[in-house]
Amino acid sequence: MAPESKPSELIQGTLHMLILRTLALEPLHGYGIGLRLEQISQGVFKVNAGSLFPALRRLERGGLIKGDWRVTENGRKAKYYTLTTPGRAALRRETRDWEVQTTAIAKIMNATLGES
Amino acid sequence: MRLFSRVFSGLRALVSRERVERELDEELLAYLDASVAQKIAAGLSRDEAVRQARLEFGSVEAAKDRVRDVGWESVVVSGWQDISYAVRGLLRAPAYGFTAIAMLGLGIGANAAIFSIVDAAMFKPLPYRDPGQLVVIRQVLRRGTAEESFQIGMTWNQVDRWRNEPQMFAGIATYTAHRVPVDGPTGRNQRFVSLVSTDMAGLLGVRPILGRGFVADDGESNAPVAMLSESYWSSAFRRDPGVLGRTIGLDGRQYTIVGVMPSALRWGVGGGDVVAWLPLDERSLRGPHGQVFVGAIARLRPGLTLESATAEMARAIERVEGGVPADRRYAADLMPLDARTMYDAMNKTRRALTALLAAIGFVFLIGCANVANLVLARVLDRQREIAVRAALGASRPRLFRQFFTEGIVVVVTGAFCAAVLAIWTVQAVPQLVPDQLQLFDANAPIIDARTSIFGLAAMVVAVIVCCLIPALRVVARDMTGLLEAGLRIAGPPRSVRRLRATLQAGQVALTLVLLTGAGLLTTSFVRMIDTQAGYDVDRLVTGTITLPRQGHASPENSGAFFESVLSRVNAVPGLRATYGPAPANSRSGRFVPFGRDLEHASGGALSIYFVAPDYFAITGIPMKSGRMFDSREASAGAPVGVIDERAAALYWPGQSAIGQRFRYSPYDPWVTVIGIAGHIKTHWFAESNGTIQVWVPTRLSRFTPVQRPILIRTDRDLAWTLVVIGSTIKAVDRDAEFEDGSPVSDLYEDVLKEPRFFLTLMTLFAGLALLTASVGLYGLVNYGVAQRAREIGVRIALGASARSIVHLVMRDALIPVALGIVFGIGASWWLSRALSSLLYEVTPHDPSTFVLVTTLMVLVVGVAAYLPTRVATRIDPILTLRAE
Repeated sequence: MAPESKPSELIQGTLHMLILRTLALEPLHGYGIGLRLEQISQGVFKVNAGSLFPALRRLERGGLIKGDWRVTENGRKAKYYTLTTPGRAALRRETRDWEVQTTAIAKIMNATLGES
Repeated sequence: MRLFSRVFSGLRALVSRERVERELDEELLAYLDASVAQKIAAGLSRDEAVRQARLEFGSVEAAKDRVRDVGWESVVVSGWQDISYAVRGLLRAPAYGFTAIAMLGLGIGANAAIFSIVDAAMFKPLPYRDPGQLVVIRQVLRRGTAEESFQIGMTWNQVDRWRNEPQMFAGIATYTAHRVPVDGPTGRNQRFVSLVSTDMAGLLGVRPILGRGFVADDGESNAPVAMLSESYWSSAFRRDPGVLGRTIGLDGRQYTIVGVMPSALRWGVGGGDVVAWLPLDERSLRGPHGQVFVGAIARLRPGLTLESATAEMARAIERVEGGVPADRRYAADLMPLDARTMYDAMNKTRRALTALLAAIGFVFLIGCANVANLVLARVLDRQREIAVRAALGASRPRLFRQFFTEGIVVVVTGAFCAAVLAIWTVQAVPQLVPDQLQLFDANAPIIDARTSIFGLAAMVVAVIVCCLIPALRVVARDMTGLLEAGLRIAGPPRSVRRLRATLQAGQVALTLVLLTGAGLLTTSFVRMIDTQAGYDVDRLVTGTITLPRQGHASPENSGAFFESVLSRVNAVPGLRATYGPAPANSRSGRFVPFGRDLEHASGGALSIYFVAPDYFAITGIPMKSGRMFDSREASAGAPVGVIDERAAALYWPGQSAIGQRFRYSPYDPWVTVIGIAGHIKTHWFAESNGTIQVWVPTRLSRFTPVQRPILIRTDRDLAWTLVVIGSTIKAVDRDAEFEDGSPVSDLYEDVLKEPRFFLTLMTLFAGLALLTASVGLYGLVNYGVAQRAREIGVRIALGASARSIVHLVMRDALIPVALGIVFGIGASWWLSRALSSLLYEVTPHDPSTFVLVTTLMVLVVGVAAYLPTRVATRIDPILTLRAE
């Protein structure tokens, strides 16, 4: 799949999963999460603040992540999000579902006439 | 766990809203800072970094809104904001708020009130235990077709035959009613009392509200007891609980009051103005000479339906009366006690009430359409506000919620006013309804669960029309897309104009239907008043003379008394009297001409008058041919009589009716026609039946010896005459009473009460509808002028004539009006048939009424639409152009 010139829009469920995955590595603040997603996807996913913060609020309300105020490396206050135990479980579940789905989708996309 | 955390964090956010908001602000700020720092680190200048970070971020407020919308508490918060915003908006536009709330309050309130009246009068079950099981047993003599079966009086012994049929009835209770002198706190008055078997209240399942009901030996006890009716207890004793144990004089005897029964009992037994219930003394009814007729109410055995009971009854009749020829059998019909839907008179009232309910429903819908138009106009006025909100990131659902809430505030406030209005109306109404309608014998109108549900349903309609439709318009694509287009030049979008036109046309159509209904009732009422009496109705007074039963019950005793009264009245100069009912009053019967096939003989109902030979001379009823019976025939009770010309034409068309024979009940002899008189106006002249009359000698009636109607032609003052009659009677016998004394012309007033009542309400509703619709139209055209002020200004500046401006402004308004009138005429044509049974000598499609109401409608809406155009033609082009 050729990288698109314009960053892809992420569907909401996927964004949740990606945020959880990012936070599984280390606690991050809002901008850090967006930056990390962009870096890892090598610029394919660019998450703007208008989508990121509602998603964070939703995950926090669901008890999957927890936010607390810390001081950043350059001495400013920022809200860092950490994965909670239910969040970890949710990530495991969603990763499993994701793998099942992508395998299935890949099979369909790769299917040729002879195989069907 | 997750649910708990959601509820908890939502509550926390609500309680410490400021802190949560501050944290969100700080978090977003930190994001921007980090973003700027990142960009500087990447080599941008500080200014450029800030600019790019801002650009990437987009609208901060929009982002905050989306974050706030995540939790459930955001609905509460924004709902509260919307409500307080709506209230402030209403306070800023008090005319709009007042009109909208008043229309909805009036509409919903009047609807709920009329519904509670109709419900109490027609639909609500009788306030008895399992009312569906209660039936009335009517004795009938079956002849040929069902049409020819007669209902006949039933004696105690005849009731007894059905008591031995336990497979049918769980119980049978009996009753009779009498009009007797009652010694109340305000003196002696003739009132109804009802004699009931002691098990009556138990059978119906009615409990006394004070004291006790009857016990088995009350009827045969020598200490007479009575149960007061609740209404008499209220009116005569002001609901004094100390009334128990006191005595009340009824028909010259003292009765001890042992209890007070709820008014509900009167539906089954006694009727609207019953004073008291007395125990029926069964001894006087038993035995071969028990000739008092009683009514019987029975409770069906559990599990038995009316149909299966009727089938049982047929078998029982076969068993009991098997040896008797079919046309002489005393058979019995079972009728549901709740016969509110069955009798003709009730049916008429029911139809009138249904028409009123529909009418007030229409008024409500017209009001709703008006409010919807007002709300739409407000929405259009606030295009800029909506545009700004949308630009600041308010989502469509958010905008929808805001405008929906504004509508809800209006509807809920209106509904509150409606509740107050309904409660007040329902309390006032029983006094306004004519007694004779007996609407509330069973149930009084109250605001109960049923009425509340109806009111809520009306509220839901109001919410849909006044909140949902306008709010949906706000978020409709073309509305938001139009924001940049400059509304003031373009005017409202086409879909909005179409919606308003539809509302307007609907209003006009509904109003026209109401006007037609009121118009038809008015025409009918005028015809009722205009109907000629057919005799000299002025200076004729009537009344009933009653002797107490004690000591006067034999014809010999009372005969002398009545003769003496008549000769004394006739001795007064200027007075001429006869015994006989007023031409307005009559007994009813069924006209059966002799020698016809039974099918043809089924004949119409008639008014029958038992009169003396001088009856025609005193009333002035014209004799058309033949002669009146003479005093010899009258005293002998000869079977001769006079019929009216309508009966003659109906039964003996093209031949002389004189010498023919007829009868008016199967127990009475065939009567020979000796004369034909003019047709007269009876007190039921407005009914579809009962339109023919016969006059026969008094001796042919099974008259009560203690009571006679008297009719007096007077040359003197009417009131003076009534006083003279009263004192003359008292002079002959101190215990005699003169009741219901009144001028004969007043008797027709009673007939007019019911149509006048319905006519008044219908006219009121139609007037309300016309007012509402024309106010709505006026407002709409006025608004259109304001909207197009600039366009009109330009046109005037370019030299348009006043005429063309009027044309321009009215064109938009008058097309929906014209459509509404066309639909309204069609709907009236179709719906007015429902009124036909209420109309007297008017067809439901009376052309002159249709023309009249349509003209009225056109005139009123024409004026309403024209008035604002006068403003339009005076628009100063300079001012309007500068204002932009």
